[in-house]
Amino acid sequence: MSLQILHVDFDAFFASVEKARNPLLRNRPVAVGNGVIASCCYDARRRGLYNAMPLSRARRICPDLVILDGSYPVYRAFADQIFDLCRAISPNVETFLDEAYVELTGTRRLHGSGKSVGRELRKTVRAQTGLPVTVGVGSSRMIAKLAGKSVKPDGLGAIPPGEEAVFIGPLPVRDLPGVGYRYGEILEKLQINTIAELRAVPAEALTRLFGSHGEILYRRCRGEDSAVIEEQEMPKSVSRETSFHVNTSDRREVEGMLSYLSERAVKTVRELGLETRTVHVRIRYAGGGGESKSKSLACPTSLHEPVLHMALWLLDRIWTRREALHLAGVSLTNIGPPRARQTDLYEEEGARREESLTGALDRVRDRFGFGAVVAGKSLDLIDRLERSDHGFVLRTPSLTR
Amino acid sequence: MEFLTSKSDLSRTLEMVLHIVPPKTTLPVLSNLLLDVKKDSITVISTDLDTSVSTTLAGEVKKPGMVTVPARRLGEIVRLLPDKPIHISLQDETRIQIECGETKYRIMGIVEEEFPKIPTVQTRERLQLPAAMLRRMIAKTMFAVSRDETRPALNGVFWRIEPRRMEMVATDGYRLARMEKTGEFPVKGKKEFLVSPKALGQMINLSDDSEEMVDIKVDNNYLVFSFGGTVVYSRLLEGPFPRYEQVIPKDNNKNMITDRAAMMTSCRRVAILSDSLTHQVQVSVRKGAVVLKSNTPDLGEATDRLEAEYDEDEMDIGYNATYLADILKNIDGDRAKFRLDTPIKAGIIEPVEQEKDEHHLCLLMPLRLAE
Repeated sequence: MSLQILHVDFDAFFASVEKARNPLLRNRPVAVGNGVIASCCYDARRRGLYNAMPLSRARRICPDLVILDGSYPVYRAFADQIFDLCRAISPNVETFLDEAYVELTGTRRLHGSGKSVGRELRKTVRAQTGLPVTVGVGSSRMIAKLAGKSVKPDGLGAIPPGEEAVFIGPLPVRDLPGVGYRYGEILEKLQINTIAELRAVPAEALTRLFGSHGEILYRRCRGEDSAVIEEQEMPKSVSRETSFHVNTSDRREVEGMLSYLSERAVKTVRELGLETRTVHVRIRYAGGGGESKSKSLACPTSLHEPVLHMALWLLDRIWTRREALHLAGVSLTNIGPPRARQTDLYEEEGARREESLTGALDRVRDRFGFGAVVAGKSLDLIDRLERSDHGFVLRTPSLTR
Repeated sequence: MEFLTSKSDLSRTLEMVLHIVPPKTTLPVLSNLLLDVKKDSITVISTDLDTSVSTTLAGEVKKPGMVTVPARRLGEIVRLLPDKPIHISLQDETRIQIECGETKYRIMGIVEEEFPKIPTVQTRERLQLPAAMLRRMIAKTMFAVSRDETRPALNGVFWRIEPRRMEMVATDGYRLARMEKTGEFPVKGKKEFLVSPKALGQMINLSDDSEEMVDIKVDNNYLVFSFGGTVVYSRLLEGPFPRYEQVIPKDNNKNMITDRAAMMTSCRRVAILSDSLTHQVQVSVRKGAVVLKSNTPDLGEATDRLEAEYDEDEMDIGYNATYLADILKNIDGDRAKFRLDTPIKAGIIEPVEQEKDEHHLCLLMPLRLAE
């Protein structure tokens, strides 16, 4: 039985949610973000705005732009509603922040063709949430995603089995998953601009250029993709960062903030039933410029203590200028399912205590909000920041978690 | 400064000091060697600020003086010189001329004032120990030193000397190696210090197993080993070293004895299909046998079995194969004894036959399976 996969992409997600919630915004350019655009609607994009553009520049280009701070819980609620609609079609759904893959393989007798399932899904999503989504249908994740991309926004694209190679041939080489910015640049220097042109390159040449990744590209440019749909959400990274309300050189405030941000990030990883192995810390100085550094832990963890210990160690190594900080952030990568844990001669007792303490804190916070408990170094933030049930009120609220 | 030496003498000396020269440094003079030429001796010194090595070079002094020369450059030059007498002289403040047969080099050095001062150790107490014994104690423990920079207290070998007893201990939190030696040691009271593995590695590399004695001087900040014409200076690490005595189990009384080399090979065999991050192997102790097993989804599984003396409750323990094989490699003798308790407690691994005056013990913490 050949695979059939549906890719659901939420068009301009944050901005679309804001428009769905407030009809007055309907025909106006809307952007969500703080400092830079996290998401902007298609009205704004037509005026030349794009994601990650600094808001100051966006305001100059588009003076009537409506800028909103956004709120993660609201977006999550909308996303969950769409994910539930996907799960009504098939049990095998892989979700991300603003997209989902649904495996349709073996549901033809039940639901009919992939294209008709896609059409139905778009209709129900629009009716129940008011949001536009683009649906792509294909024989692999890659083809489904590219099929959707070719009809964005608010469209439906389906590639019949056997036509994958013909369909992707004329697409720009950078659209091929796994090419990205750096490899795209190398390929374009070699006058390889479309996926069809990439197909003309022999496998050995690609391996010489990109190592083992070359083999993957060799298969992908022929429309072959073997990645499967995994029900578990496996983020590549979980990041939390914020600028300070007032630039600060107070070590306790910075450490408190890193503690708070890392505690939130690691809780997210833990909620997904996963563990992280690598900790990154990023700072920006008040006068501009910044530093970042990362290091892997000896053992993957889902607990706060080892992550904080590493984050503070990294901070010591990057905060070398005697200058106030404007921003601090933590991100966790190398995320994966839990493995056997190497026990420690000296910290076993502590680790076990932290495990049970973490479980207890999670139960309290799940019931009364993250802000219900402030612990450890984050206590230094109490007199410095306002607090709500959700936690401290940061200058840059997180929109992704 | 001017002296004559031979290619073989100079190569040997450079080999001894070059290990210390840091590959990258913000202080340019650290990439250089100090040549200290006195009326009757030539000394070559290298340092990375934490560890320094100084050694004498055989040669004929024409004119005393001091200068620093680029270390690796000098090494490259000497390696390719013909096997003839080498004449080294200082032309002006920092320009050094090297002549050998028809070959001539002039290289730029740095004035010796910029070279860090080699520390002097403030103590009258001197301790002499046989080189072979020191080398053995270091080799049996150093493998367990932590390389994790975020746990600096574990980055060294802990060395304790008492009048009747001496021990070295290294641990990275997941395993521990301790070597104890009883005998007469010429110290007053108890001495404890934490030494960097780099200095100890130098001590092993530069000395040999002859019965030569090593002269040891130590104060609160530095440790100095002297042997032959060589001196190794090392800044002591700041502890505190963990209270390791407390984690050595006292009531591990389920003993399993097996062939050491066979177990090591078996462990490596099975580890090929272990998880790439945890290197987990399952060690199942059975009556009369031990079974090693690895099982990694997407990779496959492997088992191996060997005979063992064991007559207690059967159990399955998860270990990191790399750590386990490392310990088995570093203990002596044909047979290894595992002293176990439960699958979540530290296991003791030691050689069955030990020398009368020494005791080598290794600890290994198990892996706990994900729930």
